[in-house]
Amino acid sequence: MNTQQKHWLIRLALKALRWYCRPELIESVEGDLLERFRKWRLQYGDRKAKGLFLKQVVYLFRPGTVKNIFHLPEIFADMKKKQWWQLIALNLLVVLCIFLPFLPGRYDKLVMGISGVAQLTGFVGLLLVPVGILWLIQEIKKMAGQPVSNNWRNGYYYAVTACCIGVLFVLLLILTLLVAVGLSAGIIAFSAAAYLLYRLAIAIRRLGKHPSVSFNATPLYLLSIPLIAFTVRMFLIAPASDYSRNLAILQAQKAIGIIEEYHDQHSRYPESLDQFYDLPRPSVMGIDQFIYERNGEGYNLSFIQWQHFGATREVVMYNKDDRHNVKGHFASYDVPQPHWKYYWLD
Amino acid sequence: MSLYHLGEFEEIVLLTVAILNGDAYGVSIIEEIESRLERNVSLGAIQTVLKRLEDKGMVTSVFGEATQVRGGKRKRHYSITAEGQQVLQQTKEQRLSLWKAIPKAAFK
Repeated sequence: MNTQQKHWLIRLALKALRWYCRPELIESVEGDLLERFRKWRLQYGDRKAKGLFLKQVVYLFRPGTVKNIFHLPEIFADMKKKQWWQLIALNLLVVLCIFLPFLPGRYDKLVMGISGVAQLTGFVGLLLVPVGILWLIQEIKKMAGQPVSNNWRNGYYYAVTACCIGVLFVLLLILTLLVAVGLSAGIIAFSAAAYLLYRLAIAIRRLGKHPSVSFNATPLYLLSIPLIAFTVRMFLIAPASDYSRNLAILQAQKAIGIIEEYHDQHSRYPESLDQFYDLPRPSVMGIDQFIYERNGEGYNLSFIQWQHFGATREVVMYNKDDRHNVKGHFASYDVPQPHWKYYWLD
Repeated sequence: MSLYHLGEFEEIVLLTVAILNGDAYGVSIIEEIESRLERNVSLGAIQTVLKRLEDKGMVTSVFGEATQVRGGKRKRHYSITAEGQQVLQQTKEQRLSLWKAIPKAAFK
C-alpha cells in the first residue's frame, strides 16, 4: 500500500516534516510515522489515524528533530527542561524584585533595597551582555563541532571576565549597604558574596581544566537577566507606579471620609490623625503611611512612594482646595483623581 | 561520582533499547513503552531522547531494511553501548541503595 499516494493530508504533513526535520533523521522518522499510521488505520479507522498522524507530525516539531538553524536545535536539545525552568525562574525573580515596592502588601522597607539592587542589575549588568554574546557565540561554535582547544573557546576567560565585573558590582553594593544600612548589613552581604565567589571560583577552575562538550547555559543568564531587568526598569516601572499610586489613592478615600466627618462634627479639621485609631494604611509594599498636615484652613493628605534606585521619591498629595505645596520638587504631575497631584523629588 | 545523570524518560528509553536487544527502532520502542508502562509516548519525544543518548555515546544506531509498510523507508536500529550499560547499572545501584536506606518504619 502506498499511503502517500492515497491521502493528500498525509502527503502534505510529510512535506512539512521533510521541510523542518533534520536530514539525518528524516528517513527513519518518516518510515516510523508511516508504519504507525498503517497500524492506526487498522485499529481506529482512516479518520482518526489521519488525526493521530498529523498530531505526531506536530509533536515532531521540537528541539532535537528540527533542522539546524544557527545550531540552535543542538543548544535547545542539550539544555534540559530543568535548565530552561531555572533560567526563566531567575529572570522572573529579578522582574518580581523590581516590582516589589509597587505590589499590594504590608509595607516593608527592605523591598526598596531589593528593588534597587534588581534595577541596578539592569544597568550594571549591561556590561555583562557583550561578554554573554561572545561566550554564546563560542558555545554555538562548540555545538557545531569546533574543538574546545583554548581558554577562550571553552568559556574560561569569559567566565573570569564576567566574574570580575560581578565582583565590582557586588563591592559597590556592599559599600552602599555599609553606608546606607550599617556595618552588620555590610558584613552579612560580604560573607554571602565571599561564599558565592568561592563557589564560582571552583566552577570556573573546573571549566578551565575539564571543558565540557555540552552546552553551557551561563551566557544565556548573562544576556537575559540584564536585558530583561533593563527593559522592565525602562518601560514598565511607570505603569507599575501608576498602579500602586492609584491603589493607595483609592485607599486614602476612606481616610479623607473620616477627616471630613470630623470636620462636619467640629467645624474644623483635626490637628493630627493620632486620635483616629481605625485609619486605614496604604496596602502597598513600598508605601509606608498616609501623612496628614494642616494647610491653612484646609489640610494635605499625602503619601510617599519610592520610584527607583536613583533615589527619586514621589510625593502624592491630596488637597481639597487644590492648594498643594511640596517643597524641593523638580517635576509635578496631575492624576485622574480630582484634587490629587504627585511630585518628584531628588 | 556518576558519569551522567539520566533523566526519568532517558532511563526508560535506554532500558527499552536494552530490552529490545537489537530490534529497537522508533515504533518498536514506543510500542514497548506503551505496553509495559501504559503511557502514551510521541515519536518526537522518543527521537529527541534517542538523539541525546546517541550524542552522549549511550546508544549507537545503524540503518536496517526498508519495507513496503514503511513507504520504502529504512529503519534506524538502536543498540545500547558499553557506556550506556554502565550508566544504567550505576543508576540501578543508586536506586537500590536509596531503597535499602529507607527505614522499615517509614512504610508502615
